[in-house]
Amino acid sequence: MAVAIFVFIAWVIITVYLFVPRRLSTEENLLLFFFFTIITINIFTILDLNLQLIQHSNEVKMFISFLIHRNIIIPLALIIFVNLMSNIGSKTKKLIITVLIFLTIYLVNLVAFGIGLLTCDSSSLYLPSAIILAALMLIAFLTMKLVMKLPEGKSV
Amino acid sequence: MYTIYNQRFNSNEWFVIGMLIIGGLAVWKLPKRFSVKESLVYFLYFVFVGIIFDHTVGIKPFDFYDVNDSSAYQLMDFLSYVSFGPFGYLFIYLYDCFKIKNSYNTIYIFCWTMSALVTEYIADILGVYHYKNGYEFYYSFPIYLMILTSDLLLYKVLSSKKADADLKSNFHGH
Repeated sequence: MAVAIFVFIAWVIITVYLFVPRRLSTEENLLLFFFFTIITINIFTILDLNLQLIQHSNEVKMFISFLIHRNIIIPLALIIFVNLMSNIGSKTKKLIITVLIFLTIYLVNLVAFGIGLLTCDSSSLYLPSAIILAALMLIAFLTMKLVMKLPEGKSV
Repeated sequence: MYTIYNQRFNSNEWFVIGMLIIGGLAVWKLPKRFSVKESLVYFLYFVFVGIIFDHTVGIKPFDFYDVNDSSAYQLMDFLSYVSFGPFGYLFIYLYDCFKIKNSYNTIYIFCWTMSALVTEYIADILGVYHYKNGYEFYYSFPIYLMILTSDLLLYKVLSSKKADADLKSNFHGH
């Protein structure tokens, strides 16, 4: 069941990505996707392996769902976020998009906790989870700004 | 809790730093062939796949190996993934520089796979990798083949997109 749920969520995210208007080039999208995945994996590993605050399930089916969540859903949702941010001019629309994407990733994260894909020792997982996702979105936004400023020509 | 293999700054740390310096110097000194963004894509691709594979087969439920001094995630582990980056760039750089034909792709990928295996073997001897649960270093062979083939495919896709864009701009220019 967990695999089916997360494959479905990943499919929705991939479909949305394919239809979202993209101002960023292929290189920029790839660069940001690689970067977001690296950051997400690092955060999950530090929280899991080192701090043991959030732990993933060791059951194989759950682990596959965890990989889909960590390696596809979160980085691709961030890619959709930065593409929309670079494409929309209005500040109100930007705010709405930010809130919507934050809520989407947050809800998927809650589903992950709800079905036992991720477990947390702390009694309250809502606030720390929200802070981590907000930090990820902020990093994503700042990285997008930085990547867009990179020169187009050959490196010096 | 954690398995600690050693706590000193020794061969494994020097190996990672050495690879970073050699790779970094090569990238810095070689004449540039790609745009900054394209170079970063090739650089980050190897870091990206390195982290994905290590943080998939290197953690529970598989837990096939630990990297560097302990089973916990450390700064030196992260640097060891960063040290893959320059070699991802060099793999594409040399392919582009020598204008290797498609008929030689298999040989080119095979040569790089063998050198990656030799490097992993040396890294294993120096204490960078600690294999567990029956894993042997040569199991990485198909993984390297897959990574290098996908990297070359990535280069082909980006090159064809670039060629299309050049063609369009020339067409509109005339």
